[in-house]
Amino acid sequence: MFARSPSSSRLQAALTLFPVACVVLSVYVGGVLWAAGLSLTRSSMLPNYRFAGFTQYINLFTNARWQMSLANMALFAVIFIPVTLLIAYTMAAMINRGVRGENALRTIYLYPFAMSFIVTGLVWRWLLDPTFGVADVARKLGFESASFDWIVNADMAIFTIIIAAVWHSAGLVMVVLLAGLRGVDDDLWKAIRIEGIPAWKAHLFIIIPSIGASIATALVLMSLTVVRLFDVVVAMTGGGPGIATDVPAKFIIDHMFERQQVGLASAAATTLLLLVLVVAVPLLFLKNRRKGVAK
Amino acid sequence: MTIANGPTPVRSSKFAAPLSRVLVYVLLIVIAVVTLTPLYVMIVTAFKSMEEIRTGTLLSLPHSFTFEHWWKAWSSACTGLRCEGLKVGFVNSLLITIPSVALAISAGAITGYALSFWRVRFANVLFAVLLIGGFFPYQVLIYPLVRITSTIGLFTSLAGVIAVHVVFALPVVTLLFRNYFATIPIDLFKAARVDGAGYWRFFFSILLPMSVPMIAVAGILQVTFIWNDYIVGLVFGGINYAPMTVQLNNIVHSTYGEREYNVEMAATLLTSILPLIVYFTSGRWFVRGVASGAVKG
Amino acid sequence: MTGVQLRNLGIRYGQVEVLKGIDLDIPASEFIVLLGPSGCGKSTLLNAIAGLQDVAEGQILIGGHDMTSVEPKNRGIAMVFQSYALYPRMTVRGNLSFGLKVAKVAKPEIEKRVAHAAKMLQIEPLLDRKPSELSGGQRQRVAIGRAVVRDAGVFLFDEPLSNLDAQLRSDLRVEIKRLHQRLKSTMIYVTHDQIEAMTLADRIVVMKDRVIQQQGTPDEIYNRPANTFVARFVGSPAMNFLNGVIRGNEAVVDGEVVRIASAVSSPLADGRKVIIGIRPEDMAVQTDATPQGLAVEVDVVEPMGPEKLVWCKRGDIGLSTKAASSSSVKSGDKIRLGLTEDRLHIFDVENGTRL
Repeated sequence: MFARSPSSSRLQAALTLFPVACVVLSVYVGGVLWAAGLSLTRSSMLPNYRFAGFTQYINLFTNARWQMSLANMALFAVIFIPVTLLIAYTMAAMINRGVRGENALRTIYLYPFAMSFIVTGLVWRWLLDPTFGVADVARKLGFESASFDWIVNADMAIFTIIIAAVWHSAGLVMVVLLAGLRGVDDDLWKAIRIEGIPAWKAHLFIIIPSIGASIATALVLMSLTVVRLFDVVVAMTGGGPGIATDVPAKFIIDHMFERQQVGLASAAATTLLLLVLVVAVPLLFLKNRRKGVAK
Repeated sequence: MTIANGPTPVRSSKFAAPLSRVLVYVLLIVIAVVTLTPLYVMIVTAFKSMEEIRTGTLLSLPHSFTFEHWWKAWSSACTGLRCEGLKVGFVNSLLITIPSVALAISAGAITGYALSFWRVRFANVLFAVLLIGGFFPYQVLIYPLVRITSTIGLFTSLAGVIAVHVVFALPVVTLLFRNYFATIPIDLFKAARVDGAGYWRFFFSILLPMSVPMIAVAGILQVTFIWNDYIVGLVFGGINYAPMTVQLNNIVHSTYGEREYNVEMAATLLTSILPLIVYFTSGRWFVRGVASGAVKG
Repeated sequence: MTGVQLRNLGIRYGQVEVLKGIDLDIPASEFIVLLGPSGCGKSTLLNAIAGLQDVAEGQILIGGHDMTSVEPKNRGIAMVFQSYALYPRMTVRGNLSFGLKVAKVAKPEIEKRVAHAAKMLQIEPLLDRKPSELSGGQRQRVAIGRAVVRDAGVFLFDEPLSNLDAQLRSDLRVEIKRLHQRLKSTMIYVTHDQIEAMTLADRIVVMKDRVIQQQGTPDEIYNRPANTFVARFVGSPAMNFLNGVIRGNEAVVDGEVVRIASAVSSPLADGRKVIIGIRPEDMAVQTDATPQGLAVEVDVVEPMGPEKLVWCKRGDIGLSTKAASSSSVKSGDKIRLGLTEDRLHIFDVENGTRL
């Protein structure tokens, strides 16, 4: 129940919102619509408003590089999200049991999040360098024939990016899941123990369903990472070898500025946007509905 | 949702067989070591000479600790056309980050306030659009923003970069503040009205002082996020206002001839120092920020 | 001094009519309590008087002036909230002086009023502390102090004692009464606790389902309740109710004959069904058969200290009565309960109104 607000204050509130409303309208609504509109034109270097129907989209989806980008993004999502969730959940579950030095551990696990994705990419590029990286460590330890050249291997390079991304994100996801686990009623644990349910079953069937909100949050955060993947690719592989690690975000930026095919890039951007909306909005909806029910 | 502030007491109501406890600690420590290794390698490599790098391994310690590579990265590395090192980028990053964070927080707090207590008709719609907009991939918005900033004449200017950062930060910061303000009991607001506090009076005298923790959290998160940004700086900063991250990438990827790994790692470290300091000193706030942002979704 | 009048007040939340046709006349310096269960509309009414709630129709007059659309700060009111609502980042002094600063009162005057209120509520040693450093009782005193400094003609209390434990509640109850005697301001007090209402009020307004059930002094409310709701709501343990049928000057209750002549205002028709109410303390435990006694069996005896509560059964009917603490009544005893004729309350069986 809101207290009655005098009309003068309501006016002031509306006025304060005005600049933000302008920004939102011009950028988030207008800009996006304009970009989507551009995808239907022949624009190359500058906007060219000659209507081209869905030509750009056809060009887009027959473009080998775009196909590779999409495939990479899909592969990334399918591996990155479950792996990170698993690692993060295991860490969170262990810490939730009560360990000494929790603060120190948490500080260590979360610090990668404080590093730029560029830094992350560059460091892991160095770590996984075929000549000087982890393979070198193995070789100098005695494993003469050890080699790890994924990063220059067209088929495996994408996995190096996944490794870097998992390192960067696991701590954050762990913190989110830990917050959820901490919200689980102590009595629930006691009931589980009394009933003698084995640990893995307890987590899988009882605990995880009851922290749905945290998991949804973690999923949202990770999905955003997947879609926005750009910096780490630029830093680690530059999209290579060749186009082996290209991702949609990079495809768009490259075509917008370097290759100067604004129409094509806009089509790609619009596609990406639709993808995000299809995935993220239902998740949001679910979260809010849960909140509403909980109230 | 709150996070316990210290280590929780050992919960004996969970699966506490002694062997599994040892296993837990071992696993956690192994993960910690793996997490720390990249940082270790960065530091160690930055001190070695190229000879040491070739003959030793990633993990071996340097023979002597020389800062010459650090110095080179800072003042003479080539970041594109210029070879003045990262110090230029450092200054740019400061010039970009500080105003952006200040403006983003101000805008977010004021907007969150306007959305919380006052029934403005279009406010809910605005907020919903803003939230959804927060999910848009940057790439969709980059080109329209390029055109808009060009038209206003802000493209490749400092003000332009700051403006774009603020635009991108608005959804998250507004959400944080609005959610926080939603927890303020309505009676407090009523008491202030009875006392005669108007719109801005309530905001500055009562609400803001109560929001210091939230401001700290939002500030820390945004400083980290904006400092570490690459794409906005790349597109909107142009040559004059390239932040450290852009310069760093240039140093590493545009070297002709032999790559100087030690200088590269030094450069990487220099770029990370500020966010790492912010992170390690703010500890608890960081976590709290993430957790409260997590509740938002 | 400032009285408050509500004329035909109506309040709506959107399309839903929350209050309608409320008429209330509160003379200056009166301590009036709005009493009722949650959801009865008492807080809504209080908020409307404060100016925090929009009014759809009708008028609110404070001190003779129409204040229906005036901002809270200009109505000459002060308000104390259930949750204290103290400004958390200000000291006690800051909390007390904030409203005055906003109203641009001169500094010396502010200091004078703050000192005066602090002395009155014995919070002088707390002036430089922050609310988080105070106990619940101390916080509520500060909240009251904040109202006192406003020098208002009308004080509004929104269930101010509900968040306090029993001991503190009775301490502060006395403080509030003392405050009223000292300041002589008009005080409008909202609560669901009938003990607070009975002890504090000059007059009580009992509300249920957004309708005023009865207005009257505590004595009137207790001894002449206007309907079964008021009768049941006030008084602990609650009034006993029995179903009866009129027969001439008497009523037949479960086979027993009960004289009711002096309890009704006018004679009632034969065969009419009525509800007969009697308070536990008005039923006496009789050890010998008397003309007006109901035979019951003792179910549970609760020793309360100063007296004993005796819960009895007569078939399906449950009755409660009070016995002296020296009484030896125990569970299983068969006793008779005497019904004093002039302590009976007769109600209509359909709508519960007093007959």
